[in-house]
Amino acid sequence: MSKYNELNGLKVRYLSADPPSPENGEVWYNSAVVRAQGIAGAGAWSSAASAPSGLSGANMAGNNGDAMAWGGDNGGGTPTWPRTSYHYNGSSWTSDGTIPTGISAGGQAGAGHTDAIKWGGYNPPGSTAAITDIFNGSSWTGSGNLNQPRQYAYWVGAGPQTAAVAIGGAPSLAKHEHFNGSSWTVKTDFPSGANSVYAIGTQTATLGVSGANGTTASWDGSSWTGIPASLNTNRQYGAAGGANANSAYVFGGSPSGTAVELYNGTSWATQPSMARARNSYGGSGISSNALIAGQTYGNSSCEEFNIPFGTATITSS
Amino acid sequence: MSLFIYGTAANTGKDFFTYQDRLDFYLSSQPGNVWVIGNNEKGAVWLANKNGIAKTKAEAQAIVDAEITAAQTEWDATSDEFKTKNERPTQITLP
Repeated sequence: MSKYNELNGLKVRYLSADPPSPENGEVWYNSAVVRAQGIAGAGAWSSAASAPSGLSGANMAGNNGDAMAWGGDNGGGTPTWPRTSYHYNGSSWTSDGTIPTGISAGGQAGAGHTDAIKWGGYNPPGSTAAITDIFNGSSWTGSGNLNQPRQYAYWVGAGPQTAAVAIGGAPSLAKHEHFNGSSWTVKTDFPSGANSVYAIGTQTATLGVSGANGTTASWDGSSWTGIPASLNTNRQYGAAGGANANSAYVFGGSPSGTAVELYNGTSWATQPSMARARNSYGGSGISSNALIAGQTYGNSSCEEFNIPFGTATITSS
Repeated sequence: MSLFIYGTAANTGKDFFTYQDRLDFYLSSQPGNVWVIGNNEKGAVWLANKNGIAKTKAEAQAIVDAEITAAQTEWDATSDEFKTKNERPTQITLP
């Protein structure tokens, strides 16, 4: 008979109670009820409260119960870059702070609205591409600049802002940097440059995904290791999120629009799609059941991804 | 029987379509507040409950076409930077 740790590379955790925030597929032994349990459920996207506007290239950090959105431009031949940032509490958006400089398609990270961080992005004449700003729960303040300026540097993953990761960015960069709360440190380049390199995880366990060609690689804190699996559908200017490097989502983007894919540590698999195609937009999520997809140009609607918590008792038969 | 029904309805935000709705029937949001909905009882009830207006496929397609044409005209007038990260809207053929 096969053993669980041989099949999954992990031991079943022995707990006295169910874990507070289990991930889909997580398995544990609950000694209080003397049974092995796991999360089993189907995920789906539902509508979230619409954003205050429909901008192109807006950013977002956090999850579908606590997020911060900022930036973006309103298009047209002579666009403007609104500076008000907004907090989403799971049911409504409220203005919360003002970013020092308006940008679109910048880098983004943070576990929630109180520790959002932004970097890079676009706003002519190009002077914004190295700027970093952090939110302290009430206001944005400037911090150390990127060593390697970049535009369109979307990044989404677990925070906090004191341990952010920046990879890629326009023009087709492979640059990789870590932020410690006040300054950026250059790290080894990602194997494949792209305007959009999605990153999920932490500074010591990062999954990097090229939106241009689907190249997927893992960072262990010191080097990149290529992963044979690549995105089924390459797409840039989408969003990414997930609990960690082995539970990572890429959703939306150009050209696939509504498509969602999940990397489970081995391969990419198609997930339930969003109802609305989204491109050049901010989306985030720090666990598999808390993703949020934000506004797109001309469309303020938002969507959230949930996997309902529920446990299933696992038996040997 | 057609696989889909069509209608227009304004997205009111949170809970306009729910997790359970997505499990119960196919749902796709298109420009012009057009919705493509799986043709089953729950899908039809959803459209009715949202004060939606049922459309024929041809009517729904015409709304989408008009929206796309307007969006293309708007895109053509945008800045080069905008065009870099936003593809020109393309025609959508409803299923």
